[in-house]
Order: sequence, then C-alpha cells, then structure tokens
Amino acid sequence: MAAPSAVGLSRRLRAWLPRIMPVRWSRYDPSYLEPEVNKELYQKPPEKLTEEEREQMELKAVRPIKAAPPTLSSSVFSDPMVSKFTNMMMKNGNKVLARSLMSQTLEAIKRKQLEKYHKAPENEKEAIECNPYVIFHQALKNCQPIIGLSSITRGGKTYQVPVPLTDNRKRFLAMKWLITECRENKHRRTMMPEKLSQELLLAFNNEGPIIKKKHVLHKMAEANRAYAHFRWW
Amino acid sequence: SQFQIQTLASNSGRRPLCRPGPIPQCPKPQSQSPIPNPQSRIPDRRPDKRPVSQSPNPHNPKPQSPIPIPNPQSQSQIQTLGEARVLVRRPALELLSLLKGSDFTRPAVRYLIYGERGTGKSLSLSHVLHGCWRQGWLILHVPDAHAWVRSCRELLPSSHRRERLEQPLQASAWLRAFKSCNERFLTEVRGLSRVRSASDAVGVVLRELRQQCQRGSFRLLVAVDGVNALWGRTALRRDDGTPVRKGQLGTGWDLGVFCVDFGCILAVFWVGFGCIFAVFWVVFWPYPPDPSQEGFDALDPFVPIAVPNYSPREFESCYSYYLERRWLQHPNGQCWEGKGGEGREGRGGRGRREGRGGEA
Repeated sequence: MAAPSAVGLSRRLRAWLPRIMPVRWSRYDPSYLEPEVNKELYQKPPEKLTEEEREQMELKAVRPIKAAPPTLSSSVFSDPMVSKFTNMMMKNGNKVLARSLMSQTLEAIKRKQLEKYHKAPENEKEAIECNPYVIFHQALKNCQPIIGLSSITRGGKTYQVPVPLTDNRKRFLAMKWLITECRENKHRRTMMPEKLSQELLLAFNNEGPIIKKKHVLHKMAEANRAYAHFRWW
Repeated sequence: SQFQIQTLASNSGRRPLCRPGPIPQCPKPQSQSPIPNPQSRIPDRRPDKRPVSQSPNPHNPKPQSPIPIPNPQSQSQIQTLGEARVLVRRPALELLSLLKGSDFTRPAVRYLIYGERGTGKSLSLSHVLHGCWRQGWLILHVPDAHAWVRSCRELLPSSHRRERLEQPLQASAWLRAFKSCNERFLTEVRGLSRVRSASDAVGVVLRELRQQCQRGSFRLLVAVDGVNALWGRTALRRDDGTPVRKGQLGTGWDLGVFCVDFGCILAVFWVGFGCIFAVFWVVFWPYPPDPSQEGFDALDPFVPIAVPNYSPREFESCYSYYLERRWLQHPNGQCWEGKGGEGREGRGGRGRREGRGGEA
C-alpha cells in the first residue's frame, strides 16, 4: 500500500491523537521561511541582487519566518562540521564543555603544527599545514568509509551485506569512530584535546587506528561481495 | 587621577609623594587578553617588536635572560612561536626611564604597578626586570607572592621562633632562581642542597644583600609580583587544621620580605636622610582581591604606574605580529568582523585574541 504523505499524516494524527505527535517532524506550517543568517546578503545594495535573491527578499516581507535555532550562528568563524562534531562530543547537554574542548583541540593542533613549522628548514615550510580547520576537514574526509555493511537476515542466517552509504552516514561514522577511539583506547589521564588533536593529525596524514578501521571495513565489504545481491534498495 | 603626584623622581632628586585617594574599584573582569606585543620605540613612539630573548641561535649569541615569564599563557606562546617578544608599552618605558634616572644617594623609591585584570602588569614587570638585568643590576624577584600564601606542600615549624612556619620547598626554589639570575654577583650561596635550612638561607641572603647595598657596591632591584598577597589572608593550614595568620609565616624572611615584616624593612629604609641603600622596589597590586588598608599603609608612599588596556594602535600591531608569525590561520580572521567588529571598537579598541568560539 502506498505510504501516506508526511504532511497529511501529521495533520490526521494531530486531529485524532493530539498527544501522540512525531518528535522529529517539523511542526511549522509550510509557509514559514528559513532564517537567513548571512550578513553579506543584507549588506549588498539592491541592484546587485540576483533574481532569486530578490524574490526571497520580497517573500520575507509577506511570510512568517521560523525561529533560528541556538546552534545557527552568523559568526564568520562558524563551521557546520565543527558544530556537528561538538554536538557529538557533548555529554548530558553540556555544550559549554564540549565547545571549550573543541576549541582547545583546534588550538592544540595549531600549536603542534606551528612548532613544527618554525623549526623546519625553509624548503619544507610550505609543506606543513598549520590551519586547524583544514586539518580537521581533511582528517574527517580521510576517515570516511566509502562502502558500509548492513545485516540482512535470509533463511534464518544473518549476512553482512555491502551497501553504499549516504554522505550523512559517512560523516557520522567518521566522527563517531574518532570520538570513540579517543574515549576508549587511550590512557585514562590524557586530556581530550590532546588525544583528539593527536588522532586528527594522524588521520590527516592517512595513518592511525581510525584509518585502519576504515580499511578493515572496506576489506570485509570486499570479502562479502558475494552477498551484494541481497540488497534490494 | 586617584593618586596626586607632586613630582616624579627625575633629576631633581626630590622624593615623589603621593597621597592615596580612594582605591579604584575593579570593573568586571574582561575576557581573555592577548600577550602584549606591539612595541614603541622611544624616539618615534611607533609600535614595533623587540625580542627579549630568543632561542639559542649561533648567529645571535646574546645571553639568555633568566627572568621567568609570569603566565603560562606567555610561556606557551613563547614555545609555540619560537621566540619571546614583548610589547614595549608606555608604563614599562616610564618605569625604565625613572629607574635609570634615579638617584642612588636617596632612600629607595617604591613603584606600584596597578591596573585591571589582564592588562599586562606582570609582563611589564618582566620587561623592566629584563632591562635592569641587562644593565647589570642585582635582581631580587618574587615571581608570584600568591604562590607563597597558598597551596604549600610542606609547612614546617621553624627552628628559630616557635610561632613561625617555614616553607622549605618554596624557599629552595626561590634560592635557585635567585642564583641563576645573579650568577655574576654571587660568590657563594649556601643552603641550596640542604632543603631544610633553605628558609634560613634566604634570611642570610637578604641580610647580606642589605649590608652590601649600604656600601653601594651594586644596584639592587626588588620586585614582587602580586604584592597584595602579603597582606591578605593565607590559605594555608597547619596539621591540626588551624589556619595560619599572615604574621606567622616565614622565619627566614624576617628581613621583611614577607607579611608583617614587610613593614619593618620598609620602615628601616625610610629612617633618616641620606642614603640607606639603593634599593628600588617595584611591586604589583592587581585589583582585586583585598587591597587592604594595612598593606596600603605599609607601602605608602609610592609612585603608582597605571597599566591600561591596549590602544587601537597597540592592538593593530599585536594583530599584525600574530599574522606574521602565522598564529592567526583562519582566512576570515583578517576582516573587520574577524577582528572583533563593532564589539572591539565599542570597547575602545581593546586587543583580543580571536575568542574561544572563533579559534585560529
């Protein structure tokens, strides 16, 4: 049977079962617009706006706008990947601690790289990357698996079937592996920024336990190639 | 200003007097401040950098300064950027020129460096100390008076007087630092290895210095960082749990570097005219906590030297230094918003490192 549309479903649910509401679905009416945080857009003179931007501005005069979530920042330094990573590091809602750990990690990366940079001879200086954001993004990219495994049960037996991964899932796996590796497999007394900066630098150079884990996953997927036809999506 | 200064001790030789006014209230603590960097050369007053001490370099065999850098922040910056550069600011320059032009036949002049939290008092002191060390003064430096009245691992009852307590670890650490600082002056320093008698050794050293100063054989500079700790409450407790009051610390310090005896040594200095010795006190008073009236009276009279926040030019210079040393990595760090935008200008151009949210 065809699945009913999400919007219709939520309206019917709201009518019949007012208390049982889906938690992750948005309760906003579809006419609500997303908040625009980019300052440069507002500072542009009206002549320089493209057609789409002009339309958007006109709509804003008429339509209501959703409330901006607290994680949405207009700062020039805000980075969605870094925010996501901070949220994954957070425990019990302690965002302050998670954010400070993140900034200390980035600072630790920068300090290590800068020390190396200042001690290196002239010809090697350009090869050393000092920007912690670049290192962070590249390390995460290096840790992302290309193919994943999914458990599918056929005839009573569960098989590990190789499946393609979405971008979100890849990013999630990379971040999750990084954080669990730092939390579990290190000495108890080392501070999180120290551990994380070390792991990120190793991943940036395509070394370290997380890259190994990714390779192991790829090898298992390669080994279970025969079951790939079990996948139906 | 709160302190009315009649004359500054230049070549006139007249002792500066200042009548203490109401003690300025410390405003709310500011956010993290950067390490002071822009320097101003004396003739044209343009901010620029002057390295205080550099990592050992065969092309530049200057002697390394043994003066300890106060904050862990400064120390980590020196380690990361590979060099120690100090922002030459007006308070440090004033102090250096005053010390240079001071008259040694007169009793000691006391200078008090004060200011809000994080404006650069300790670093100005280090700068002045380094300058004096280069000129060949003997340095008596207390890096952190707060460390003596708090968190002491060993607190033993003294051998000399019954009520007093000693801190052998800190005493021996201080002796070691003193020796490394003033190696060219010392013929012998006893008590380094025997930690038990370290506090007494400190007393002996101070007595020696006092006598030698009277002869005028060298110039002595006494600097105490965090001097208000000496008149505040101590956080130390004895074994049975009773708290230690400030009069009871330090047998070896009975020459008055410490606590109540501070008053004695100062009183001695001021007795009579015509030279006692050429000791110049440079002390610190970071507000708050507890600038108590007693301490104020003991230090009074002194020449106050204010250390303000960065001016816009100092901030720009500091920023360009960071950019040059590649400390500021984020590409957005160079735009107006990256430097702090309206918030920075609203606060009168106070220098700030890119804050915790906007790192690199």
